[in-house]
Amino acid sequence: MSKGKILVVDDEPEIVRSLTLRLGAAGYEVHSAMDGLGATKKAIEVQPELILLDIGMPAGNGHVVVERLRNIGETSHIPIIYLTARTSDEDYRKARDGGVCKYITKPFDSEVLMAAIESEMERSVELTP
Amino acid sequence: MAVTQNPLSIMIVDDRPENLSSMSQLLAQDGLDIVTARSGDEALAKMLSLDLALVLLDVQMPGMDGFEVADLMRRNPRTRHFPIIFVTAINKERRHIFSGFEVGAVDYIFKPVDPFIIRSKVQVFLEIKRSALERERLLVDLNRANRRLKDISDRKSDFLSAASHELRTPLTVIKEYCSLVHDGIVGTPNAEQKKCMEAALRNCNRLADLVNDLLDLDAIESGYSSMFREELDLGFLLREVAEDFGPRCDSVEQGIALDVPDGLPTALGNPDLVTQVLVNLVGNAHKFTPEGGTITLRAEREETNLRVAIKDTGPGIAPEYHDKVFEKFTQLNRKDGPGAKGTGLGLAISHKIVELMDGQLGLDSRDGQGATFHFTLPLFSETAHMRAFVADGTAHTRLGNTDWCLVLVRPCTPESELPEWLEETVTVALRQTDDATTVTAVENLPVKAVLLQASVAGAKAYLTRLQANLESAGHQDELPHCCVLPLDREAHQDFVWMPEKLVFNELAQVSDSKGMSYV
Repeated sequence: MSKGKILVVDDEPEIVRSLTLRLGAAGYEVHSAMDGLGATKKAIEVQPELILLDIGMPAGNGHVVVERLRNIGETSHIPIIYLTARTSDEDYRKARDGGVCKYITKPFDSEVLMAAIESEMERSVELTP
Repeated sequence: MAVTQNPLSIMIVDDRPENLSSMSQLLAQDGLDIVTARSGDEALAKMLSLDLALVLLDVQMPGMDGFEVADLMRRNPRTRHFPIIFVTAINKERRHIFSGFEVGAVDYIFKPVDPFIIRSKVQVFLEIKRSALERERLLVDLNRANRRLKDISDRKSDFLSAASHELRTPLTVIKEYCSLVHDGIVGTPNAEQKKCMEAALRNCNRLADLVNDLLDLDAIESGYSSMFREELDLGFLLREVAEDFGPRCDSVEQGIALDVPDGLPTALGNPDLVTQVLVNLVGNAHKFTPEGGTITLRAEREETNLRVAIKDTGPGIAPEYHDKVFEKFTQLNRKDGPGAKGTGLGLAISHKIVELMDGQLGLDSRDGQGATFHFTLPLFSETAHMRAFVADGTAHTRLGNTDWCLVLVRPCTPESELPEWLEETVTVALRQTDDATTVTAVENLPVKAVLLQASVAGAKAYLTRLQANLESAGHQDELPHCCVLPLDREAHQDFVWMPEKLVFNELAQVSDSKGMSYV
């Protein structure tokens, strides 16, 4: 029995692969996308409990994806964690405005990432009736 | 005499045409424009568009007399700096001479005019003006050169920022794969393999710290660190840092002690940057103090400063290395304590940060007797705070200090002088008004900082319009640093008001998202 569905979005295939291994081992069902457009499609199709989202990507960066997902009824509520190498004030502000729940910078500590994922998953379980 | 490229101008004001023409002939020379006016009104109207080296002003004229003209000239910022020589046939009593000096005469001569004397006097003013123009020209050159240097430095910063971003992605991949092996997710590692992965992970973290430190250092060195200073309770910051380090120190049986006197005055600084320095210094102390040792965090007043000292009981640093420790990439072979190896940039960053806040970072230590790193910060005062606001605002702009102006908007109150340091630091325009919407831009200079007293009507409208003007000029990203001052302060006689934190939420919303800083 899976602990829940997580969508991993990153244009760097090795990051997608390594996160898939780690999250899979931790008991999550992992889906992935490698650009902004793919991310939006996958999110609608899979209805994940959580999205790990990169910012700098082709075909719609992370901020654009967040805006699109927030405007679609069936994805507007999905919690999003940014996982990005970008650290500008502008990015932080957009993350806050878009209601992104956590901002984790690369390179990340896997313990920090897993703790953030678990706390978000618990919360989304609480919210789901 | 060589002909100057830009002719100098002087003005002769006299109600008699024959006086005007004889004086003009007397003073005529190459490279000199002589403008004449037959009345005070005509003179005032003409001089608005001129840059005059001298005004020869007849005292006795029908209508407005020379003293009245001088008085009106002093009231207008465009004409107040023109030197005046009063010329008169009568009014020879002392009383009249005095009233001339009161309105700002530089000199006073009597008719009939001695041609030799008037020519030499005029010559002196022309020389003064020439050297002033030359100084201005050099200043323009200097500013241009500064801007070019700044451009180069900007490009270097952009490169560093792009390079560090590019470094982060592969570093993330390496770190994550090492971590997958270490955590046994791709097969169970044996003890030796696990140790290898730990070493790899430790060094990934070191590399990540290095990338962050390099970016920090560059931001500080190029003056882009978005710093604004405020009133600081150092005792509070020291306590916070001591608490953060508590568990780490406990784990290796290090003591961490606080020594902060009651009633310690507040300091002026940026809380985030001061915390960064404290974390660096306490982190160093933690790194080099052996088990059972003690780290002491002390703060005390020292004349016009507050002094913070971080003392450890580690091996100490020999005096010959004291200067070297603040250089980039210096890592001394102090006998290692429990901490991890650093990036060699922490002390260099701390040194720059403290300097940026007008303090000094130093070291007292002898080999084998522990080390004390100490730094100063200025005591908080309203004047110091205001000065810091202007200095920090200057650091943010890509323009030189003389290319922009600070607009101070305050309600109509008795006029007071600007403090000298403020005039030296930036071009300042003082606008006294009951309605801020009437305030216009200043002599073609972009507004880079605004000090606005919130009690002035239309303060919000003023900010909105300023924003609109900048946007229509395509400078929407260059909004000025803005400081809204609180309601009526007692300090009306003294110009220096304290910029207070976020006084009016309503005003803050005008452009919160546009990067205006409210101090």
